[in-house]
Amino acid sequence: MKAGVVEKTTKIRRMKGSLNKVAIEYALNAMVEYGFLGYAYWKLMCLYFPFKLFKTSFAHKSEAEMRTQGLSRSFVVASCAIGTRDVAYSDYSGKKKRETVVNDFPARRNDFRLWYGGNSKPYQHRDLYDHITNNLGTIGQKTNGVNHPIGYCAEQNVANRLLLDGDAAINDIQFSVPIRPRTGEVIDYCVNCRALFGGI
Amino acid sequence: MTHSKVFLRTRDIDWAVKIGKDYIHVASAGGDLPKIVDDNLFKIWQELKKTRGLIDGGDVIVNEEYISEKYAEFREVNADEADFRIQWYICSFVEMASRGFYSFDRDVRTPFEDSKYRLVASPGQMRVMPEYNLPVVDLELEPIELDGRDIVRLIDERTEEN
Repeated sequence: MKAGVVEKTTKIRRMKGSLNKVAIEYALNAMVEYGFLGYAYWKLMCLYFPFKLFKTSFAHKSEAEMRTQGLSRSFVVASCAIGTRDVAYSDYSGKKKRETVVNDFPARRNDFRLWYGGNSKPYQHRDLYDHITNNLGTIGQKTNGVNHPIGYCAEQNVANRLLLDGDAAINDIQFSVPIRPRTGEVIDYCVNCRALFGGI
Repeated sequence: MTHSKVFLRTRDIDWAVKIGKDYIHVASAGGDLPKIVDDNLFKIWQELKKTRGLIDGGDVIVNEEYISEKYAEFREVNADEADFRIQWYICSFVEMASRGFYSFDRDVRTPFEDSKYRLVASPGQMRVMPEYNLPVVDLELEPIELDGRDIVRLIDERTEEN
């Protein structure tokens, strides 16, 4: 392995938060370790599949179609997907946080932003704080027999950020069906999400 | 238990053990882990990381029966997208099978406490059988016989007996 490649790989690993950067890291790792044509193809396809599904499920709809189907809200958030296996084996360390994708349809239909659960602070925005405490209970507590502490999910972090940035009102946020990133299966919403965003 | 329920339920953990002379890989999909895996999870991850460079590229046998059963309903509704979905579903398991693992997935339609694990892909003719340093479980069952069973409970029962 060439020294320059190692240095570049390390440098790219430090860069986080953007899907493109993750994709570049994958391509580079694949080239370094396995040869580009074989393994890189598989890895890139695994990154591509979730976004293709997400886009085909929602982003292809025109605003008019959304309205006729009663889906006139502006934001689509991929919700409640289990786990982090979609990204890399490095996630096995458990340090990487769960990702949730948000697309502010229709303004930037190809602009997907990634958000993380774990350190969210939904109480930063008053509307969301009230919504959570009224519908679920105290922030940080577990309820409904669910093992996820209230207020620390990626979905709640997304809602918080959208509200804080002034991108959306709470009624503008619409959640996708929950998808398991590894396999693309549609799974059940967690009880917290259903209670919190089901009525929105 | 080393890892909390929050940790387990919010992650799709890959774990692997050696049963007899065969290696099995399981995607937890939020399910429980056997105690032996729970205690050695970090070591198993380290070992799985090493497998990234050991792609044999041999044949992989996909459990067509399970896949077609799983996607039968979807195919009726959306035949055009069914193949794409199936490819997406199996790609992770096929990769593990190409590294010499019998690759299982937790059936997400079953409850966490009473899960059923299904064999998705198994290794075919391997050119070189890899050697992995994984926890060994003394089970008489062949990996194919684990299909449709609760592997976690089976392993726990077996390790408790010993």
